[in-house]
Amino acid sequence: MSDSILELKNISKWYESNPERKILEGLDLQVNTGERFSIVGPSGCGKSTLLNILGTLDTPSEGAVTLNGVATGGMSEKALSAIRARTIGFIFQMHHLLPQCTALENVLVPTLALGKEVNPVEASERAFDLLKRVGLGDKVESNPGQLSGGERQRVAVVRSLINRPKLLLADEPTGALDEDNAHRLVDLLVELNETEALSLIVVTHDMDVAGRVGETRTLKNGKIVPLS
Amino acid sequence: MNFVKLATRSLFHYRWINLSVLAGVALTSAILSGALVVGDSVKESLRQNAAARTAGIGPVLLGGERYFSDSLAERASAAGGINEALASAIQVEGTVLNRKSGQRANKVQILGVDENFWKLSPSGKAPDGFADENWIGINESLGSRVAAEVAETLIVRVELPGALSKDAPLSGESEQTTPFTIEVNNVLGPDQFGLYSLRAEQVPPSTIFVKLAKLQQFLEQPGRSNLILADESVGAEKLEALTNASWGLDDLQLTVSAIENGDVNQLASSRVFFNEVIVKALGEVAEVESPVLTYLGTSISNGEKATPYSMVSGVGPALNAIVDQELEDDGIIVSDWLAEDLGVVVGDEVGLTYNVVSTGRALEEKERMFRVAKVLPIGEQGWDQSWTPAFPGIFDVDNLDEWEPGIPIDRDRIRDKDDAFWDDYRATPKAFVNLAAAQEMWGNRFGEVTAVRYEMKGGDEPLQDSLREHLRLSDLGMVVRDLPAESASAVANSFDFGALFASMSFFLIIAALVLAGLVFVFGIEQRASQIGLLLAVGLTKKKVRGVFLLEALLLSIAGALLGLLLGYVYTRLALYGMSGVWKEAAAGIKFVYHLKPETLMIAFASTVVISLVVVCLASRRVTAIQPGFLIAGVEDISSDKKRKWRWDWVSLIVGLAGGFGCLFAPKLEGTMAEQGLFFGAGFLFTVAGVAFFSLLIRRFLKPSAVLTSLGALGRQHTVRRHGRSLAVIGLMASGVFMVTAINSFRLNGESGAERRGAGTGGFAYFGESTLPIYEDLNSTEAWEKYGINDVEVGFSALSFRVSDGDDASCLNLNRAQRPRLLGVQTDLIAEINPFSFMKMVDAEAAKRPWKLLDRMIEVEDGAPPVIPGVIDQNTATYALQIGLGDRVSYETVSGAAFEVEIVGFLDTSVLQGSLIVSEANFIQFFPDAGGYQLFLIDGESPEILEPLASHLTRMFGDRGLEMRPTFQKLNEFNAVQNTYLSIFSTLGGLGIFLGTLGLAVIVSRNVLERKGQLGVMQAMGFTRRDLAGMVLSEHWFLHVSGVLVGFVAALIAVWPLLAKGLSSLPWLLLAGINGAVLLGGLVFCWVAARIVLRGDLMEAIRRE
Repeated sequence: MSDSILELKNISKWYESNPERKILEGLDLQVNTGERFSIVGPSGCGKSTLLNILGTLDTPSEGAVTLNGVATGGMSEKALSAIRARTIGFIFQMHHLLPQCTALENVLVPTLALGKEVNPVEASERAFDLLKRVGLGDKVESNPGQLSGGERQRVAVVRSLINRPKLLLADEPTGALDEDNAHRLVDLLVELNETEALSLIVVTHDMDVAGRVGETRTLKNGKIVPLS
Repeated sequence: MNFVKLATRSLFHYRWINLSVLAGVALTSAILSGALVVGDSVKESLRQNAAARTAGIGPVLLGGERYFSDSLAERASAAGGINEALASAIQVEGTVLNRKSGQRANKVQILGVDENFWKLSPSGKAPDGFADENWIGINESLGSRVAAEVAETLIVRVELPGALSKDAPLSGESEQTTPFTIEVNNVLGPDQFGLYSLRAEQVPPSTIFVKLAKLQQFLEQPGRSNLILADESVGAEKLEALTNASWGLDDLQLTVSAIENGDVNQLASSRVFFNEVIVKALGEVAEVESPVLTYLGTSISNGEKATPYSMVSGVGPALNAIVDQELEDDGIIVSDWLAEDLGVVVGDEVGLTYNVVSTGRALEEKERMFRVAKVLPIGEQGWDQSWTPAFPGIFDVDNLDEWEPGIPIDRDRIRDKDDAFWDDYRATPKAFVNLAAAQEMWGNRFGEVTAVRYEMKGGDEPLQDSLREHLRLSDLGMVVRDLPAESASAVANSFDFGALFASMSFFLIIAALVLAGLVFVFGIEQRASQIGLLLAVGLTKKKVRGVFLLEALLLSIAGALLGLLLGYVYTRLALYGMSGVWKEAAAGIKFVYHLKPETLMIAFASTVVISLVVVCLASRRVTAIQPGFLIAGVEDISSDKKRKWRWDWVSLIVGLAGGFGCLFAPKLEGTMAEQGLFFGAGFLFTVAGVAFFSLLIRRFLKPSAVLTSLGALGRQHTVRRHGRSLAVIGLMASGVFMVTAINSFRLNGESGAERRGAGTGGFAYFGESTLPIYEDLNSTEAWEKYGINDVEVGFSALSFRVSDGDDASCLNLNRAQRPRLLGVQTDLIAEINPFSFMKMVDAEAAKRPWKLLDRMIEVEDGAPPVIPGVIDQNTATYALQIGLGDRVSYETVSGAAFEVEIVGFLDTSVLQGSLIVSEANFIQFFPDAGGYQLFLIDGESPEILEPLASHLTRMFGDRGLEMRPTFQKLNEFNAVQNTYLSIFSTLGGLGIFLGTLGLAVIVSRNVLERKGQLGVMQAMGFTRRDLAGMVLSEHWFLHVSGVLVGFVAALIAVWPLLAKGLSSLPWLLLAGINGAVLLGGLVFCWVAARIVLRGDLMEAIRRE
């Protein structure tokens, strides 16, 4: 468990409209294969910004991001998209399912990014298996409008797994769920971490959720510090 | 799962938004295809019009000024084995008067035709009753002009064709017109050649059809015609070859007579003066030839003694026994009769006085001194009347009292002995000079020879055969025209109404596209988080954009296809408009609906491409946002507001400074430049106005402006969506400005009509005559002859010679093949300098631009001669599609090519549609086109000159002179541009009105975006009515501001028109358009706000 999948070194982030306010400052972070932890912090501390940088959705103003031993700085949009498609899975606070597609089709959306690398039949079978695994085997043809909040979020989790990522990033994944559904979802994520050998980072402000994930780190003053 | 499936699923899921996009694209396609099909329809209408004009006619042979034997057609037919395919005809112009209705029609074409002519007509059949020798038909156009029906009696006036031009010296006095009375048997419609015309013009001509034999009788041209029409199956080259192989001397008005024992022959012409090409051709075939030039001397004198009115011949030493090598240029051989009358002997000096034609038709008296070289007995050694050609008014009269030679004759000078001479010797010359001296004195543009004596065995036949090898009919101005090719070219290159309507529908197209783009982007923005998700899961921006473009492509294809169907309505409405309220744009044509599949393909492809580009541009902003922001649903926060503030100030200052600069810049009253400056001022004030409101909106950020009222709170939102708010103001302002202000370019010929440089040239009256007027209207002789003195109104006339051609003005939709040529005396017009020049080849000529017409243009050896000409810029640019320095090809009366090089462009004027050259150059190439047919009358004002105009119209009524105030003529042309502006105003207005629908879309977007916010306000206790008021105050403020800025700026632009009276502005149309835009916007905002606010606002809070 010592090989690193993602490493952030001396990361700082600010926006041009307000360069004085550093959202992240000199942040270091290493994520090893199969590792699992949560990041907590108060609202506005930069958790989502950090997650976007981790997921290559945003670039740091300073510092280096290394993914699978390769620095992402200076990579083209296309290369970053390819990394996201193959290596990273995202779960957001809102499910962001496409209302025009069925649950199964929503799960398959990320396969579009891989183009011909994906065998459509195999991908469909895997999507179906995954949906069954999260208890949605009978809902594959349902539209998002026909699913409950918890079910939608589970579809979103399955969607994040369809391309077999090595790193799963979850941004307040339980924010829109009731307690029961929230617990079930976190348990599912933990189970996936353990069975699929993928690293899991959960960003949350909910200490209960953080506790269920396991190791908890805090984002404070733009830096990651162990939970005091 | 694949991209196509994703796109189709999205299309269906967001169907209501997509239907709106589809409607916008369909509208674009409908307008574009409809406009282009208008072009197809106009072209097809012109083609059908051309087909009705010429029907089965193929090439034609035009006799020009010559009347050839009407058997030439039969001979040519027989030679080519094309019996009955050629029709002989006479075509002349005249005037028609219906005495009963009192209505007169000028410029009526009078056709003498036979059975063969009708075989070429659309129906292929002669009209009923044509077999009757007195049959008369008129076309519907003439019928309506003079209110004539079947059995109506009409008086027709034509000019009797003379043997030689009335401008030629000694042309006789027979310039009067001849009237003849006819009774109408048939009124002919298009099927029976009712639209027949050889001109590439769509306006139906007025025509009288007469039996050929009857017209020959009226015109005193028995057995002769001036036109041969061939069947379509006969090519132009074939007709040319056949007629060239078949002509005889009689067709060229040549006669051969034997002189002295039959060894020497004399070739003479009933046209008196010989064309040089005939002399040259004869030189090629005869063994010996000797040209002769005989002329009338008004006096031969020796001191006090003078012999009046004597013929004098100039001849070389060959083929006669009178003149020998010894005769010097100043030597004269006199007859014994003359020697006795003058009392001269060999060695004495005599003076020879004669008249020549100088500028215009003025006679100039000249005298030349000669020394008597010989005295020979008259009547011996061939001294007889054969030397004198058949001068009209001289040769064919019995005594001297009846002489009408075309020069003033002082009958008091004629003595008894002169009468006795006439009785004994008729027109026998009294003296001989050598040919060089004679040609120096009397050579003129009609020729330098009156007969040629030649030695050649045989009679007419061998001469004819030999001459045919060296002389072509075209050398004598008898040219073959390929009518089908000309018609096809005139239609193919005709004015492009498709492009006109497409450009005039600019605002409609933009509005439809903006609407489609707005809705599409609205849809995309609603799906911003989807975009973020797709980017997050690894799709590239290109692929994400591809998904949306695929959706747009499918929508565009469907919309464009639907639009092609709707385009039919647009075309029908446009054609209906052009047949009705916009008829000035395309007068005289009956429109048919016609579409070409390729036009629909173009419209379809263009719509799809344009729609995709708009969608691509509109969606680029969304996909450029960081995926993280899209997913989180927050806006990009990295914008620089300070820079935008600066731009607002710069735009405001530049707009105001530039606008006031344009207003106060020195300008010439009444010119396009003046209107241009006011238009520029209006445009810059629009920019300043929009910038001002941009700054004002930003002011709403200040705390003092916020929360003073619910309306103020609403307006605060305009700051948050600053770009969107400004777009509303900018679009409304520019739309209202353009549609209103474009009318500042309306033309009114009456405004400043008295001023030099205006389109009227400052002339009070414009006159056109059907038949030429030979008198100089400025001369005292003409004033006396026509009683002009009695009118007691001072005036001067600028007269133009006219060579008939196609009307190249905006009134003719066809592409003019040969624009009408006008010849003007450059000294006169340069002195007045009446018209404004837009451009000229040489800036140094600006002080006296008309003198450019006198310039010599060098050409390479063997190239056709080139003369300078000026034309109005619009005619050159749009009708002829030529530029400064370009050349237009013509043919001289002798068939030789020459070119007119454009050396200057005139501003819009009454001379529109014609190419103007100097009179000197004009008569060089068209010596036979005698007299003047276009007149500009200078005087105090149309009101003061009205009695004079009436008098001239009456005096020259038989020549078809029509006088009207010059501004009226100018307004005829102006009506076309003004109608285009009305079309633009209407279509543009519809576009802006459609644009107000976009405002409704923006209202919906703005409300939907903050539905949660509004829900909270409702929770706080605000009623829906309060909230609707807040939303409306915000959007009505934007809309009214935009309309106000545009309208104020437009008023500035149309100020010159306002200042000169309101009549020329289409106030009703403009008030309707602007009112509809203002009200439409307010209503659409209200409807949109009402619909959107009707939903459950509290649900929006729950969702947030």
